Amino acid sequence: MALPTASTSQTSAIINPYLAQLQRMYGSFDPNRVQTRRRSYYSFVAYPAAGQSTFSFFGQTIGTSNRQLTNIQRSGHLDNPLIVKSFRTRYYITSQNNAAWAGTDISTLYSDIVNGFFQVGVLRMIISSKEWMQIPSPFQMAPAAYGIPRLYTADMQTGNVGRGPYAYPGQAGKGAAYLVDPQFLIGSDQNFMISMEFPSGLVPVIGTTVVASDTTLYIGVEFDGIEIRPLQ
Amino acid sequence: MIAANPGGAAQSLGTLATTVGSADWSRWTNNRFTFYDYVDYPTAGTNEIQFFTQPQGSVDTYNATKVKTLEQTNMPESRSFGRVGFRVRQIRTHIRIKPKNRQATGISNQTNTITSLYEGLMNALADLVHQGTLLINIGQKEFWDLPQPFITCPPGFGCTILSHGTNAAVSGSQGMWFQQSPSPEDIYQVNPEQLIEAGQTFSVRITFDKANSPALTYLVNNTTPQVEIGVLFEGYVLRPMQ
Repeated sequence: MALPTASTSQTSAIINPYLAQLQRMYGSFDPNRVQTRRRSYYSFVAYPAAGQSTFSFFGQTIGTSNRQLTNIQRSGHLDNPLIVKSFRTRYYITSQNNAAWAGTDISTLYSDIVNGFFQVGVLRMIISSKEWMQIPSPFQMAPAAYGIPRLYTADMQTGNVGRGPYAYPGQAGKGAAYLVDPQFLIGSDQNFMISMEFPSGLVPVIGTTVVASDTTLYIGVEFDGIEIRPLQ
Repeated sequence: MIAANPGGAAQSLGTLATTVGSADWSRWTNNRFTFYDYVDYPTAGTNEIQFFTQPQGSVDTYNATKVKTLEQTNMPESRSFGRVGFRVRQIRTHIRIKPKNRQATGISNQTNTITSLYEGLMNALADLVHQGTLLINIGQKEFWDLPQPFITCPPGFGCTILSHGTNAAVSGSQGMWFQQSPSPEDIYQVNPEQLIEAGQTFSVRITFDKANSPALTYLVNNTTPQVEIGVLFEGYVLRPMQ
């Protein structure tokens, strides 16, 4: 991953491979009038307890949702052109309630991570009607690949509950990131579609006492790359 | 590793121009892509598992009641990538336990399946990874014969498990959990890369020549667990520019 850049010379070097494409998209495009920065666009959608056959991302905007769940301002569009360098999946839940594990599959999100919907599904990405990605088991193959949390547990001293479970879908660290190769450009007005699908059947949440009616589980995807925006 | 720089991909097209023919490769695109095929594991054990024989929409080779969807394969036709070429850079295998709710009654409806009852299955899978030979032919020519493919060609992805829980009330349970190596560094790299041309046929199978692969029958709560075995080709798909 390239470092965030600011100087004009660095910006030109980053943009040059895409200059012709940008000029086709926007008409006249002056590489000296833009700046670049590392930027990610992300979108989370609710995963219902009963499962769902298809999840579409980047539909809700920051105005109709909130910054925890997305940072796009226009539905289905990026704010500015983005050179996509890597692709990630994530999940979000207000409370995982690890302390409430009762020795059963339903009382821990661990069950979903090792033997639930986190293990299957397929992720599709279509840009301008062309299929660019089909990633099986996307939470595994395209993980968040950041610093994943660690929770260490030991045996409980009473009752029938042994050591508590804890896992995170996917591997940690940059080496596990799903790198896009070659990097590609998504224009700010370019139509794209990202969906996660479960065509072999719905996969309900197993940890139903964790994902209770008042605690929604969200799944998300993220583009990480370099944004090209007007110089101000 | 899959290269990160766009220049690397373009450079490889230049190489193809000299090896494949007179096509105008500047008019072709070249993108990272994965072709994959998962089949149901023959639960009684077997001496051979074949891959990429049944494309999407066909019945699974080892489960007559299951139609393969995009979750199992993205192959457009049997033993071929169809109208695109493919530069193979990595080969992965993946043992994928079906989600709990897709398992048979006796597994899907138990309260401690994951935390305790799966022990017998995990024990069997830990045996399976040491077995087999992966054989890949392109046309009639053998290109790879890889021993212990589940170890040699792990998926290079998977969960980070810090601890596995167990319910002490289930007598005799060790609360095991098994997965192949999730480390990206362990992925089998094809170097030099191998091109499979558009329309070219190939065959992929894992054979078990010393003894049949482990049986999974009745291993979990007197019920047979369901597992999928996948082979994934990671590399670059070559498509005409549109």
